[in-house]
Amino acid sequence: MKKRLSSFLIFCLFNSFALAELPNDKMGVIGTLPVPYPDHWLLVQDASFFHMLNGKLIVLDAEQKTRNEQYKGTFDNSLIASIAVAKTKPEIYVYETFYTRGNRGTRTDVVTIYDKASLSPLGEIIIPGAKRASMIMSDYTIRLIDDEKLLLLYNFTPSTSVAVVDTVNRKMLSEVSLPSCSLIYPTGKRGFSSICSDASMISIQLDKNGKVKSRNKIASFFDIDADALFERPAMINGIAYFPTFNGNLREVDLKGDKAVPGDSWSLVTSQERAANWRPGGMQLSSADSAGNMYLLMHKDGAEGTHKNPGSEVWVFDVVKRKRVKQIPLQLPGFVIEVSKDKSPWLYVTNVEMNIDVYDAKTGEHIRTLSDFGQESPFKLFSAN
Amino acid sequence: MLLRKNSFFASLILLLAALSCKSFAVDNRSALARQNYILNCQGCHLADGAGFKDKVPRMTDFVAYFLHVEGGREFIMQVPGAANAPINDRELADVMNWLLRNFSGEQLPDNFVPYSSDEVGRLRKEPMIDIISRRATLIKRIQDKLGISVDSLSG
Amino acid sequence: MKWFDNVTESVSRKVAQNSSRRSFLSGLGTALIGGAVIPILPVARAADAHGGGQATAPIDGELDDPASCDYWRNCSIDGFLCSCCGGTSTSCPPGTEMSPITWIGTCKNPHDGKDYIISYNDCCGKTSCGNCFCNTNVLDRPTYRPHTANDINWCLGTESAAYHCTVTLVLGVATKKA
Repeated sequence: MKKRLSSFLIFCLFNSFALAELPNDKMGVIGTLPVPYPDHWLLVQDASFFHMLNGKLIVLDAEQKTRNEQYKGTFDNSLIASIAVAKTKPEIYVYETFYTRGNRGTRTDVVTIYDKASLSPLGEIIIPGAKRASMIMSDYTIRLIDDEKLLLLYNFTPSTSVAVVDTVNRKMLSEVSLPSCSLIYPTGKRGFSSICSDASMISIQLDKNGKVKSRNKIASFFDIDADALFERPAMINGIAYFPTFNGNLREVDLKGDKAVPGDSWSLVTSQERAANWRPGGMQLSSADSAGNMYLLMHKDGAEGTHKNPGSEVWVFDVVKRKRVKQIPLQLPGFVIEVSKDKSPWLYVTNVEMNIDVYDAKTGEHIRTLSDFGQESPFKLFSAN
Repeated sequence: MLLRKNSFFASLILLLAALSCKSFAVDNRSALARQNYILNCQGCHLADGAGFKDKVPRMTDFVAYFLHVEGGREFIMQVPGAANAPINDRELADVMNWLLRNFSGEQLPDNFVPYSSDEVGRLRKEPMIDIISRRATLIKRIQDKLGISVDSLSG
Repeated sequence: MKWFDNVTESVSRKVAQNSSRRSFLSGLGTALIGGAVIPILPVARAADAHGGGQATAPIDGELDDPASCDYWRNCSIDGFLCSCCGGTSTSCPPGTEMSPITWIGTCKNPHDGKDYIISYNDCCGKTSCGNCFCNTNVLDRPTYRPHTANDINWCLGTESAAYHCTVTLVLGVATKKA
């Protein structure tokens, strides 16, 4: 009897564990991301080069070890969008193009404003005229100025202009036409400079309503054929550091109302020049919060190699105008980005379309981010 | 009979050769002007100067109108597409004269003076900053002076 | 460019090892080693400056194969070759639209030694073709001088700016400068 009772009790106990039901799951649970994003999170813009309509922006945590732990979220962007990540607010601006029937139909250009936490659109601003510049993405096709109250957008039809958008009230304020000058380099209190087709520059200051307050032309100051400035400088403390095709560096001071071209100095020693070490790549420049400039470099450079992947990243103290570190890359890379925290990490899109992560101070390779559904990750954004 | 025919043809050939050499020298600059148009302008303004909708200004049967109004002659030479073309002053003057004659010959003023390399060199030193409002002003002058109704960008 | 071959080889090997997914990698990755990746603009390039004067190079199959990056007309091309996309080197594939706004360069024809002016018109309005990606950056310059920059999409004069592939049209012979 006792045995039967204890067996029965054991049976009941066993059943209460074995057959205890799972609680029902709640339907409709959607994840959100912590804002501000942790310092070593990375936003990857995939141009989807073989189906450009379906561009992706993928958020990764580079500190994690496995793909599933790295992968944080995604949003779409259409036809090689221009993307700007705000630093003072939880918003990401995406200037993109849609057609009513996919790759055809009626065209609409919009700025879609994404929320960093939900990765969902908060709103959109239609930019009329179908003028958005369609080109390889670059920071300098879309810039935030005036404490991120104004968003500037680069248009190319082939006439060039810059649309000015109010990010607070989410509307377009104006369009500034340019005399064959390109791109947007933030300048002064509330303005920008562009490089013109004769190697001159124009600097424009705006009032708070986005109307032109002043225009200044800066005379030609370099030779596009002999030693062109790359269009992607490192911007550090109000100065644009433009690497050149032949391995030099041209400073342009953008702190005042108008651009002031400054000194030129060499990025390479005479031995390195003899070996034709040159900057090159797609997004070939970046900077850390200490004010160092990072450049992708390749050896045996020549006319036509300026977009070749680099085998090394060189780090420069731009005040002392000296290289302070050489970081050899495991695989050649063509896109770089450096995180802006006190322990900077260097991210490199390599020729296998994976992203190598290095400690920027030691040059140590930490890990490779791969297999996250990427195809052509042509632009990287450090989270902060 | 044969000999006479041969020497006749020989003279004819020599004459033709002489003529073509002379016209070749004249045509050579014109051919280069056309080539420079193709290489530096045609990509956007198209082979017949027609331009493209509201994106690229039309030259065909239009551009010479600018020569009729004050400021127009300078304007068409100073637009960045012309002023910044990677060709020297003489070549640019030749291109301007070539396209005015070929695309807009009927609109040329009676007292048309071709561009010279000196003039081009001088005009190129004054960069144009605000194309759109300058063009709008000139279009209005053309409309007022010549009584034509024009769409401001496509002409 | 020995380093080019070494990297190409290592990329191909790695791709073969991880070949579960993307055969495009062998196209895009290796093409990237040579340069940039998006359709280029109208450019006027002196054929004699490009390629360091290859007038005496032997004429082989590749120079005459429109589906090869070495095809003589492709000396300044950046994009997918329409010959591999249902079109030809001079015609667009069905249903696409040829952009009239284009980029223009010069290439030396190895058969007659003449410099031909070539117009690189894009065929637009459909998704990327994806085949035969070719790129050269000789005499390419940044986008602030548009007519010599290959980073810009030149499907500008078409109903849709979606880029599909690029053709190469002869516009004439480049005469010597007077």
